[in-house]
Amino acid sequence: MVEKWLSGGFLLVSLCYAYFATDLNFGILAKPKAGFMPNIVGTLAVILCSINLFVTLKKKSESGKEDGIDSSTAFNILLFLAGTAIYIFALDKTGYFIATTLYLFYLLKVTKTSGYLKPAIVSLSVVSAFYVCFEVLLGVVLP
Amino acid sequence: MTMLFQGFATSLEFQNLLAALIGVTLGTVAGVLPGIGISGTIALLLPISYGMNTLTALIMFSGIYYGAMYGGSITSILVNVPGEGASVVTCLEGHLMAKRGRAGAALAVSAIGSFIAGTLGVVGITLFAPLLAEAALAFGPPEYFSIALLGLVVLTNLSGKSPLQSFIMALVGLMIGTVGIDPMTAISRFTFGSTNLAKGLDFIIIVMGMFGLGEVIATMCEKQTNVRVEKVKSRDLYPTMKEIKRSISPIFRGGFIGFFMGLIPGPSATISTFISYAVEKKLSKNPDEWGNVGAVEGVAGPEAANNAASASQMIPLLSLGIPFTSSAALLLSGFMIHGIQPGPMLVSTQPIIFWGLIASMYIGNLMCLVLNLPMVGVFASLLRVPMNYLMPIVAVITLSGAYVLNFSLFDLYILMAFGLLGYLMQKSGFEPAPLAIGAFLGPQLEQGLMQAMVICDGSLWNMMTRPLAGVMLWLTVILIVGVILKKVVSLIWRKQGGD
Repeated sequence: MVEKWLSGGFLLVSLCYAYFATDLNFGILAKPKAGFMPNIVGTLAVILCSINLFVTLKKKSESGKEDGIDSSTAFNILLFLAGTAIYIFALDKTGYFIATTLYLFYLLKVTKTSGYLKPAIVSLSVVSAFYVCFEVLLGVVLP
Repeated sequence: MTMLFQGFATSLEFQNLLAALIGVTLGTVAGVLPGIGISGTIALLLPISYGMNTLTALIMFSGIYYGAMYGGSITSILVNVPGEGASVVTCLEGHLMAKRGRAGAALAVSAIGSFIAGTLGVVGITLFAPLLAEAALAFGPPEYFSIALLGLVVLTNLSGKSPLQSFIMALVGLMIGTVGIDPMTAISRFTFGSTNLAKGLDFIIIVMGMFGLGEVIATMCEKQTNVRVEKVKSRDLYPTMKEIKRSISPIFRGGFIGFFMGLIPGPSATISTFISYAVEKKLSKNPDEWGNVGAVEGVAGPEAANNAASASQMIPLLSLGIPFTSSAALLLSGFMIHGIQPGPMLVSTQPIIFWGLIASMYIGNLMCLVLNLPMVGVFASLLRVPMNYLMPIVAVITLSGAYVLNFSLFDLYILMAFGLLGYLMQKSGFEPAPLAIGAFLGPQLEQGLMQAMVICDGSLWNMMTRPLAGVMLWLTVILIVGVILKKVVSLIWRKQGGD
């Protein structure tokens, strides 16, 4: 299942890439321009991705077996991605220390770590260590 | 020789020795953690080199490289979980040895074999890398283009289950490499008006996402089964005289196989371990032990081959500036963070860096042996650290490290996207290495191709009649035609078998 969707996704990306590559000037063989390589790569990718999608669909129908992600894993991935997206957004608003402490606490809960006190202490101490390491020792400016 | 001694003098300075020790320790620790592998380890640890001087940082990177390789063999032997492809073979005999109480001996033989073969590999780098770099000074764009293209095609042929999917991955990598402002014409490509995309997609962010965050997602979000770690007793740590005698020849044979295989682009370290395993099994005087109680030759040979191959993979990296494996590409990006561009000019323009790095490889190898032998038990205990604590922390390290690279929040979104892509690729069997190498080599390939077309007056035939470029391009054509023919023949066979 994943292979099928990914094969379709790559074909779609290749089609978009090849389409936008046509906007760029190809030049001539003796004097190639910015669109030279993108046009070659895009066209090749569309051809190969089409063959691959065909082969993948055929393979699935022949074997009858499906590779997939179970619902609990899919839910966890969704939680992870949503949390990460919010964290990146919050980094700019609340700063590194607060955002990262909350994010780490959230991830510890996503991985079903029991209790609240222990994850909170771990989050606070780990992020404090990172903060000291980056901001104080390495002199990196964090948001 | 004088330059090498100067390199040793620099590498033996206190801060550089400390960097090698930190690198080897961190590399081993990260290599032990299941699934992260060498590429993931280097990707995760790149940010900690900020603030260090260039040579110290490079010494730490090579320590990480060697440490992570050894860390991979610990998990193979004790848990039967290979950290990466090159450790798969070690599982076969190494874990069987561990099950009969010889885990310590297997780990010690693996460490000694890795040290001897790794040192042989570094001797090879010392001898061949400067020679190749000197020869490469005469290369023009057609030669660079053809070498990079051949490397990419060999890599895609050897990686993963399907050459077609690997080719697609390499093409996707090349597509990624074209995003941003074209350095030749200064025209903005595939940026859709975004200023964040104008500078292109950072290669390090891509690999941190695919290899680092992808693995974190897999370990954190999927149901985990508890691993059973074989115990290592200190009295069993050292191999018996008989085991040592049986290991010596396989170590040297594996070292030579690995060194020459490592010069071939692609996952040559993995292939060399399989070849070494097959050779040792064939030559063994104790065939009954293989696959039953674990033969020590089956650990010594492949581990030596793996390390020698990983060392010789550095030859094209240092002398041509072209990485042929994802871990070498990551190592290269680590160099580039510190403003060092490996290639033919490195030996002449930065001799202290070049020879200091080579000397540090000898030191890193030795440190790996000295550190790992007595501390095997400590590193093995890391496998008992609960993943529900470890993986969220690794996720935070990855995100913090990615931010620090360019101080860009946009990079973090890219990291997240490639993390998800890396996870999905893992699930579906698409190989991430060709994508990473394609993304890295893309700009160089494009520049080489455009300049080569101008030099050769737009004629591919002119390019193919140049001695070196011609050989490389013909080999590339033969490889591609070979893959297509193989597929057609297998389809015909299947059809005939079906009828």
